Amino acid sequence: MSGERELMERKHIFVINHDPMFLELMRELLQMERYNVTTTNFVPTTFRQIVGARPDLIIVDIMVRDQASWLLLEQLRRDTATHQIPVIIVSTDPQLIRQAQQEVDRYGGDRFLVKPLDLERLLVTIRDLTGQEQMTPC
Amino acid sequence: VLLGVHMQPDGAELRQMVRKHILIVNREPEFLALMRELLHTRRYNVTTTNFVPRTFEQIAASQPDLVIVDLSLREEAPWNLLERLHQAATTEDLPVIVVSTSPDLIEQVLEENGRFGADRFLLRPFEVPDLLETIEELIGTD
Repeated sequence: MSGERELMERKHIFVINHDPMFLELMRELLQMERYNVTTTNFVPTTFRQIVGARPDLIIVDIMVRDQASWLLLEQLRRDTATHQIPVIIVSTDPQLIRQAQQEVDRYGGDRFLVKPLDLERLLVTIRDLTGQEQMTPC
Repeated sequence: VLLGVHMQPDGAELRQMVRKHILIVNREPEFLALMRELLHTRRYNVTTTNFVPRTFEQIAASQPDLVIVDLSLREEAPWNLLERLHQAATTEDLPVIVVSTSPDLIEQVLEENGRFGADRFLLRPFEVPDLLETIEELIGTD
């Protein structure tokens, strides 16, 4: 099952967001680019899922009225099991992105992107952080 | 001080925290999107993943209320996952629904279910009410 082995070796991206449409659009895009993808809306166990899954990259969406995403970022940043996993912070609110950047020691974040996302830029950012080569056109 | 950090979770966020969590393992983005959409509107928390090397660890660490695994002929990973979930002390009690487009595969799991430990089986395409009823039977709703 060489095809399956290739699938298992792909980089794994973990995407956390409240919006079902956004999550599955990200899946479609990223699977097309040959990444393994987990998507979840916020659940109390997201941090533990990440510890178990050890993804190569985490994409977290932050919103104003949402404590869980900030707590998750803080936890990911502090915990030795997760603090080395690259994190992209995205938000529809440029002000929130600025706030996160100002407190980067507390919340981490390797890259910051304002939604709606420029997909090409997103993919370049992801390749940059995961080290996965650009997919060869078939 | 960041807006949002020191405030109490609002009602919506609290309600979401207590919702049941369903984890779905499947390769097809279209299927996962449909499942997420459907279960989201039914007020479940949903994680979807295609098979990744550490899906078992992800499940064991996060203890979802229900796991839905899709079986296809060409892949070993879902079979291994089922076996591990059934054998490990931390996951043996997790309810599992096996879905597949192949009646033969469903038959095969049924025959060896002592090894795979699935709780319910659904042949795809399934009727949405059948799926929801099966889920409710196993874990209820919020």
